[in-house]
Order: sequence, then structure tokens, then C-alpha cells
Amino acid sequence: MIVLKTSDNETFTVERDVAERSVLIKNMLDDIGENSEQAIPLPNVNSSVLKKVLEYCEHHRGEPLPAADADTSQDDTRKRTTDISEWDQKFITVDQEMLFEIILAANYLDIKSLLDVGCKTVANMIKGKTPEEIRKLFNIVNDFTPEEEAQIKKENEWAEDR
Amino acid sequence: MPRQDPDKPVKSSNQIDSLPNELLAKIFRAGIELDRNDESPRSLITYCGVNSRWLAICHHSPELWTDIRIPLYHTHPQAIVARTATWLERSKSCPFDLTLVITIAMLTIGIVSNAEPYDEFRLIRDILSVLIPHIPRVQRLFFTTEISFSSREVLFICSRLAAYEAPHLTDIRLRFGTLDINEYVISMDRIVPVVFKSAPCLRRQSLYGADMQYPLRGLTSLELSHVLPDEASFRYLSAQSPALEELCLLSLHPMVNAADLTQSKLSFPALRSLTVSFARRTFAPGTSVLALMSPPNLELLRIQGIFLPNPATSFPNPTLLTQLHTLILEQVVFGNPNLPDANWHDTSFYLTLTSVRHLQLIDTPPQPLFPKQEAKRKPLLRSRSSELRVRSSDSHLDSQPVQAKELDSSVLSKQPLKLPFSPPANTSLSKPRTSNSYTYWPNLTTISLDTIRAKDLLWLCELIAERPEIETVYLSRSAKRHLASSLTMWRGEDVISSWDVNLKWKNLVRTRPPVEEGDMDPVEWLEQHVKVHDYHAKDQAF
Repeated sequence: MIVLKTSDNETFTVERDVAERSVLIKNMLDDIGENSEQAIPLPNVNSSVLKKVLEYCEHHRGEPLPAADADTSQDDTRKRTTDISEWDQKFITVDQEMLFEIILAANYLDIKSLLDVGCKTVANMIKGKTPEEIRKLFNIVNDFTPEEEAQIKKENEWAEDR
Repeated sequence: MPRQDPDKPVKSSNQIDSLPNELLAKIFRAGIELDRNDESPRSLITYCGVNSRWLAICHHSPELWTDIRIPLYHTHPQAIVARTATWLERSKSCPFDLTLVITIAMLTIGIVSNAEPYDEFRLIRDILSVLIPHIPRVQRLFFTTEISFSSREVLFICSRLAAYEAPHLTDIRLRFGTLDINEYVISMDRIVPVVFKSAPCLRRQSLYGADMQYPLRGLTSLELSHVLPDEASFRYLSAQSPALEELCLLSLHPMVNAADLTQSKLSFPALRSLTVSFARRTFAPGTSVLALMSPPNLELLRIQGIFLPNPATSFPNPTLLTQLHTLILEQVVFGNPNLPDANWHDTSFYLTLTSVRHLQLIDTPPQPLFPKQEAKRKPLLRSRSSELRVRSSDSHLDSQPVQAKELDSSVLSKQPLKLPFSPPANTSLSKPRTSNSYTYWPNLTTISLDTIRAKDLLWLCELIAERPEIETVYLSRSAKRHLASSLTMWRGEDVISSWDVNLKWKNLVRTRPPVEEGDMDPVEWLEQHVKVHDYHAKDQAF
């Protein structure tokens, strides 16, 4: 079993194969050796997020890890790059704050598949929306000057007509 | 943590700003990927218009600008040229995908009143002058026109591109002349490159209405339409493309010279997916190139169309297909075994494919693939419709009353009404796992059904009642509609019935009998037995 320590000083005891879904943790475990009982500090992840991340790792334990440089550009892999499994969809149905925390944690812990799920989820949320709708969705301030907006619109006029 | 709708905006702060640039860029890449199948992808230009940070990230992420699509006719041709130049510039040194499109509608643009005045070929010339310096970076070329290769526009473009080499081209997909394609037959022994004079890294070749572009060497994927194969070319393909994983031969013609089928087979050791349709129903023995193939690792076989030659002499030897797990039949019509007709396709080839786990039937009647003796094993369900009664009357077992012990407990345990054959209340909802060994399709676990016939759904329910090993079902929209509206399990009965199967034949106007308390919704029934998913043709590759 492996002990993980979060930024808010909570500890989680998990099985090694679950923790090793994270390449970061796997590398740390390789460095500190088999028998260390030392808790692994995860200063960038709080307990509520780690709990969620571990739920994901637990569900996907045993699955082959994606190659770090996997080529997702071929047609036959595109399906895989845009689909989210049913379980993952339910898992990632959380509020925005948690969603972005999960993405940050997946990036920090180097869990590629979870990072992909998070990014695809956000991409799905904004698909088909106008810039204004996206700003509203994420509470983003429009900091363009009227001139800049006019320039962007001009650049994109090809898309308006056929 | 309570689940919340991610579409619900946060009130206090801007969470997305907490993401570093590289993660936002990754989200943008995912969004662009979602756009791949859209005719007019807009994600990237939308991202650029959100705020200055998003704009800067887009401008500094060259990989986002690598899906370059160029309509070769447009109401604003100058904007298209400018856009192409901008995207090429922003993609920096990244390899890019190039899509060239000419549709019939585009050719009418000249008569559209708000079109900018522009010489007929000027847009093409201007686009090519912008594009040509970047050709060494082209990774994939998709050239789609609804007009034929011999049209002036296509010839003009091809003649310009043919002067250049494409050292990084891995994938070429040409679709020329969808309107008169039936007149065009691709001969496999004739190579006529029309776009780039060489493509040494080519791995995937997909051609429709165009000749073979490059030697069949080093390929992992080959798709040919209206193809006239010959044994020598296929031997070359087998020897020079040992890593070939996907082969798609649409409207396949017979070889002119019959091959000697007793000779050693052509090995395709890496082939995982084979799709085929035929240009005619009759192939003389030895003239089907498929019969020469040995694909021992084939996992997916897709057969399309009503023209199907005799499988015994025209298909790969089924005993070689030991790894086949997915069989897709699309618009296949089988002969009725009770009314033998040599001209109709028979099912014997398919019934020997014992390794198949996923069976997809698209506009293909399923019943002939499950011969009667199999159906007689457990007559759990019957039909009310006269048409189906006729069918069922072939089997004396089908006409016998259903015994309570044969009923599926999971149907009943959810019923509020106490049925005469109800099992104990604590009966598990899960289906009993049996150790049945079936004569046909012994490893079947998944069925996809895309049908407009209610009786196919009835068949599916019968099959699922018989086979607890089937775990997952994919249903098209029309199949689901029939399941929901054409079938009913009436209260107190142990059957799912189809009530409108004969509607068209008898020209009767009937309304669905009212569903009463205790009647079982077939959708619910099915969902209790198997996982039910929507069937989307493009996703069904398993």
C-alpha cells in the first residue's frame, strides 16, 4: 500500500497499482524504492480533488497506460480521441471548479487519460457556442478593443459566406 | 460532492483562467478534434474571439492551425486566399492536413449575385501559389470533388500539384466525380499519380474515381472503389505491404483471369479489418481476389450490398478467420433456406464464423443467420402478428404454450402486478448465466441492429431471452422507435408481441392498444437484460 499526503495534510492509503496510474507517483515510487513507508507529498492537490482522482484511478486500474507520445492523428484513432466512455462522463459531471481542479491535478500527476477526459469535457461544453456564450459560461471578461474585435471579425468573414 | 451541471456558470470567479496556457491549448486541440467531421469547423475562430489571452494562445500554438480546408469556389475568394495564407503561416513548420473541396453547389457561385467578380480559375491559381511552397509539409491530402477527374477544374489543380514531391505525405484520399462513378473502374495494375509526383512515406491510400496513385508498397491502409483486381498486383501488395492493417474493396469486380485456388494463399499477416462489396452477384470460380487471401489475424469483416457472390468460392476460407470478432453485414439479403434459389446468398459461410463476438446487422434481416433449430431451444417469446404466426408455425415447439419455468425472471420481478408465473420476490434481476454451447455464434456477446422492421426487434427480444451471454445491444434510432412503439408485452402474458407488423400489407389503420398497468415496456424489458446503447454507424468499429 502507498500513502499519499495532500496539500491540506490529509493522507490517503491506496494500493500501488491504483496510485501508479499517475506517472508522477510511479516515478517517485521508483526513486524511493519498494519498501519505503514514507508518505508521498502531493502539495498541488487537495484532499477533495485527490479523492476524486483516486476514484478514477481505481476504476481504471489494470488498463494499459497510454503511451506518452501516442499518435492520435490517424483516422482510426480519432474516434478514441473524441469519445468519452459512459462511466467517465458520469465521473466528470461535476461543477466547473472541480472540473478545472481535476484537469490541473491530472496534469500535475501526469495521468494522461484523465487529462484527456477533462479537456474533452471542456471542449464539449464550449462546442457550438459563440464567443459571447463562452464568456458567459466561464465568466470571462471581453478585453478586446472595438478595433480588435473588428479585425477578428474581418479575418473570419470567409466563414460567414459560401 | 454533489454532482452539478458543468454547463452552469460559476458565479464568483473565473475558474478557467486558473489553467495554464498549455492546458488551454490542449482543450482547444480537443475542440478542433470534435470539429473534424464538420463541414465548416468553427471552433478555432471562435476561440480566437473570446478574449486576448485565448487569442494569444491560439496564435502561439501552431499545431492548432494544421487542419487546412480550402473550398475552391467561394463567394469571397480573396478572403479564402487570405485565410489560407494565414493558416499556413500560423502552422509554422508543423505538418498539416490539406483538404481541397469542389462541390456542384460551388460551381454555381458564379451566378450568385453577391459573389465577388473573380476569374473562374483565379481562386484556384491564387490558392495554389500560396500553397505550393508549403507542400513539403503536407501530411495528409483529402481532395473531394463531386465532378469527375476529367473536368477542367480538377485537371487544372492536379496538373499544378503533379510537379511537386510530397516527402511527408502519409495519407491520400481522393474522391472524384461521385455522380458518374459507376462508369469508372480502377485497374490495380495501372498507376497514374495525379497529385504529387512522389510520396515516399505514404501509408494510407484511399481512392474513389481515381486511378492507383502510387505503388502498393509500405501501406497500412488501402481503400479502392470500383476496382478491377489482378493476381499479380495482389501478390505485390501482399509482398510489399506486410503491415497492411485495413483493406477496403468496394464494388469489387472479378479478376479477368481466374487464379489457381489450389496454389498457396497470399498472406496478409497484419490485416485486421476487411470491408468488401461486390460489383456483381456472379463470380466465376477463381476470379474473386478474396479467395486468394489468408488473413489469419483478421478481426473485423464488413460485407456490404445485395450483390454477393458464392461465399464458398469468393470469400476467404472461414477456417482461417480464427481471430474474427466483429462481423458487420450491411444491406445483405439472404436466400430463404426453405425456398432454395441458387442466385441468393446463403448463410453457410457466416454460420461457420464461430469466433464472432460482435454482430452488426444494418438493413440486414437477422433471422436467416439464426436457423430454426437454434430458435427451438427455448421458445420464450411468441408473436401476435399473423405474419409471425405463419413463421412460427413451422416449428411445433413455437406453438406450444410457454411454461412458467422457462420465463425470464428479470422481466417479472419488476412487475407490480402479480403474474401467475411470478418467481419469488427475491429473484435476482441479473440474467442467469448458463453454460449453453450454441451451434451458431457461440461467442456472441454484442448485437447492433439498424432496421426499420418491427419483426427484427421481436427477433432480437427472442434471442436475448434465449441467450444470457448477450450483454450489449446497439440500436439505431429506427430500431429503438420500433422497440418502443411497435412491440408490447401485455399484462398477464409472457410474450412480447408485435402489433403492427402487417399494417402495410393489409392496408389497415390500427391504433396501438392502450398500455395498461402491468404491461411491460419492451425498452424497459430489454434494458433489464442487456446494456442498450444508441447505434451510430461511424462509431461501430469495436
